[in-house]
Amino acid sequence: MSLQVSFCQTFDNCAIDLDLNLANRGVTAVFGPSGVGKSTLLRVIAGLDEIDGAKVRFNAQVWQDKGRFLPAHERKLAMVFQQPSLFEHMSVEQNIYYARRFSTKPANSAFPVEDFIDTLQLRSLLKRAPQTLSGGEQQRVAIVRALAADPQLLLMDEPLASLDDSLKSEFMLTFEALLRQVPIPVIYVTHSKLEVARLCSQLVLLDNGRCIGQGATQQVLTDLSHPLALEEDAKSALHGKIIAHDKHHHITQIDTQAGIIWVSLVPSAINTTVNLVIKAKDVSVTLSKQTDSSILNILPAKIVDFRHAGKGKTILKIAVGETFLLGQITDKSFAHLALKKEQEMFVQVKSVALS
Amino acid sequence: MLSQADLNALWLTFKLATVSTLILLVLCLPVAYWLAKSRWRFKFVVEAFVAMPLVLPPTVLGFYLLVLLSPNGIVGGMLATVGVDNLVFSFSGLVLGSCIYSLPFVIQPLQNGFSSIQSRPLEVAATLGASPFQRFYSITLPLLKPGLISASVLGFAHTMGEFGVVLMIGGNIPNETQVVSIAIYDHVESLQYAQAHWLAGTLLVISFVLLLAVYAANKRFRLGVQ
Repeated sequence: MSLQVSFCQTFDNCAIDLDLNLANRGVTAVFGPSGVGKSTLLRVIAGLDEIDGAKVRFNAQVWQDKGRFLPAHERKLAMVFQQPSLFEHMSVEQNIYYARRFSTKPANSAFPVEDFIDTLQLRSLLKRAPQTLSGGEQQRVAIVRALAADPQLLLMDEPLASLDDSLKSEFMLTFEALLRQVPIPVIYVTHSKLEVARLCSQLVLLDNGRCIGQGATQQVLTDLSHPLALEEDAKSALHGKIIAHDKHHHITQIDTQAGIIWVSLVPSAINTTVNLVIKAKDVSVTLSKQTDSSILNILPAKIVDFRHAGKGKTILKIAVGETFLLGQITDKSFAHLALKKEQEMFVQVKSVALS
Repeated sequence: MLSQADLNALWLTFKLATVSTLILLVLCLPVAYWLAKSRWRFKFVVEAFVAMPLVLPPTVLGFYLLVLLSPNGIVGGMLATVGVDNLVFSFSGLVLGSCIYSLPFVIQPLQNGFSSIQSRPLEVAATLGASPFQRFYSITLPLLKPGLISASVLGFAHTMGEFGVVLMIGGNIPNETQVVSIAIYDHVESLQYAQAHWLAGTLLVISFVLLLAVYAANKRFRLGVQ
């Protein structure tokens, strides 16, 4: 599937020219700093903003071009906004099934709305009024409501931005499970690296309206030629399957592409697929395998590349198992250990955040 | 007790208020929507014009209507040529006068109602596949409910209490143009205070009950669906 968007908005100096290749399903993050026109991008795709000269094409369908503007309600998409924006005069259930009121087609079995309701734990809230729900609950309703519209493309505009940080990690666990059930491409606009690493399989980096990087999330995140990898909070992503829980020590064992990793207890069943986010700061290296370290995860690895990121920090790109991790060490340690490309050593992964 | 003539006056008043309110609701919905959403720089002129009946003495309004609508007047003359009967001293004339007289009481709650509806729910509905018409009846109208109720009740109650305009263009013809307020005035003129009390009291109770309905409805809507 492909999505082409280009527009130029003179008054706030934002121009975007994007040509995205989307997989049939899966989440594509559009990542960029605030103010690069990410929200405008979604509004143009959705047909909510009619900018002169804009072009939008989804697969073979021309949504906007010279002399043609398909109104929002005729585009086969749905959108989740930053604010849940539920219809206050309807119950949760009426909100969810709103789009079905106008649909002449029978419900699409590829969108098991009832299953989505269960995945996001909304079953007990169906009869409630939206105003009585918490922010996180409202956003969950908004997400299912969008999916119930039977869209071919789902747009999400920083859907977690309005949630408290404390709620986010819990939210993401259920959200992740839901996104795996969604049978269409999702475009996810955000400026949070954590959400990108955790929720999105593809990543498009925006800067000055141009796409400066595009590809599998893990590849783009660990590509040292992008400024993203050199930032203070650089992260890499891993996914794997839960293979064991050690309830006594409150930890979970996960089989990832990098090898077997222990993390703090994950409240999901064995064999569940989970995404892990590893901060570059939490990855350190040793030349010989430590046996007297407090760190549980020590894996054989090889330095692929490195960059000095300034302020005395060096970022290492390290091949571990079948994937890459970023590690952040000081320039001093880098010199002391006399690290170089292709060097074999061990990585120590201190803690792995599931959130 | 209420006499048959009094009951007739009450019924006529009720009929006048109902017909006028219904006509006003239909006419005012698009105008109020335009007033709420338009960014035209001279919109304030229209707003001032629409609000005129609020401050104009009803007798002034009635006087101009009388002059315009009489068979020799501009409007009355034109209507006569297209075969419309004389509107002065008729029920139809009263309806026309009431519509002008109560216009701001219907338009303003509707305009406020439209203004308070954010664009976001409508955008969400559009992305969910609702056409403009479907958005209007599934989102705008329900959200406008408190405004619609206020507009209907205020328009209705205000028309019920009309006196000056009726006196000028309707006169005092039983069963045709004699409304309650005129009947009360008649009773007082002829010193039938008991009769006047009955009618005035009835009007008082009806007005209070109507306003009670508005406030109760607004309270319920503020509390939401549950």
